[in-house]
Amino acid sequence: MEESHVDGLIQRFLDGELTRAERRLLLRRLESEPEVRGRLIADEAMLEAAAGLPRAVVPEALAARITAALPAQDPPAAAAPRRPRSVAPAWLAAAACLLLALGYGAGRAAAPAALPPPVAAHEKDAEILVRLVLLEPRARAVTVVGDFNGWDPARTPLAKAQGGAFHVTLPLKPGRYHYMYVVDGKQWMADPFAAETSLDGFGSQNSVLDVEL
Amino acid sequence: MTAPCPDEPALLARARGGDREAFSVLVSRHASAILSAAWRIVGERAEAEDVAQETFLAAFRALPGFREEARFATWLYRIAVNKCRDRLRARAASPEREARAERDGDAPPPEPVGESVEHRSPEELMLERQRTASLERAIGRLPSLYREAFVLRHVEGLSYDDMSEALGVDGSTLRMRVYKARAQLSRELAGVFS
Repeated sequence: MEESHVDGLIQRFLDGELTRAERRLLLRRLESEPEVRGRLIADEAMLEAAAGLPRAVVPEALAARITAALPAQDPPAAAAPRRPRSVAPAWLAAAACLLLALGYGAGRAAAPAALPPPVAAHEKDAEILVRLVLLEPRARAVTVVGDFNGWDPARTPLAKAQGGAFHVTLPLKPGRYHYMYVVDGKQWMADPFAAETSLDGFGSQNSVLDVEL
Repeated sequence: MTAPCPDEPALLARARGGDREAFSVLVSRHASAILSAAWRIVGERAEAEDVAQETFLAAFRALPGFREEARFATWLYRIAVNKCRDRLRARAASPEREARAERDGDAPPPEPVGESVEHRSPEELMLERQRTASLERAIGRLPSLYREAFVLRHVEGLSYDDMSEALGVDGSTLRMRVYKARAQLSRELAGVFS
């Protein structure tokens, strides 16, 4: 079967438009070729994620502006008033909540109410367990370097889990830490979901981690 | 897009007669979908808000010409997409604005607040968020025609018939745009959704 024909079948499958005969053809191909099967599964997962992407929260101010701008009767074609760029309170609140939730996964000690708090000791110099997680499916190995390990790429490897995730749990004292990931021993990268970054003086960004009791 | 409610035709009839209150109800039902689609197409929240505002005002003014056989939601998408295209064209004609849009592009729309996540471990939650963020960024990198087609088809869930009505383009062309969009996303996100 021509590759372009298989592509066509996959695209029509994703659109739910295959005939029974075409479905049979595709199923045979999937049975014998794991690579094609993997591609289709990945595409399906991507489209499922696309369908589940969140809707934007409509700021109350925007709804009010639209309503206020509606002409009363038989409207003249007047220009709508412009939205003040700095005002979007509901949106900002939602974004702040997202940041908080992401911050937990990225290792911040402040935890959202929906998730269990990290283990915390009660003494001033207590250590807090902070979990760092990075999704990097193409990587063979990931380590983390930062203020907490002398920036030594060999000291703190992340464990690889299914799905291309790497993770490590670090006992850290309260404080502010700069860190980066090292992928396959050569590529240094910032944590894509760090709540804060800072310039490292060499033209790159460090991720910043605040650990608080 | 909000599912059509039994009273939507009644609201439309009242709004067509100039009833602002009835139209405000329609705005509240459809604003999130229009805003989300516009945000993903133009890639910037501030512009998406302007698009949403202009879309509803244009719809209110044009209501007398609205044909009942079309879905109101589809009609709104049509207006919104045209306004998005106007903005993208204006941006392309102004290198300064284009650069500013690239520099100041927003993060994707936020996760709904209050969603229960207790059943997921922190790792699972983090993975899902990273996948979502990767997907949003990849959608933002699509060429604009592919991006609007993909967003309407796979994020907003429109049928090709509705898309054809909304975009004024025949179904086979739309299928090709969606196909190209999926192919690019599939390449860029290899490994992320395996």
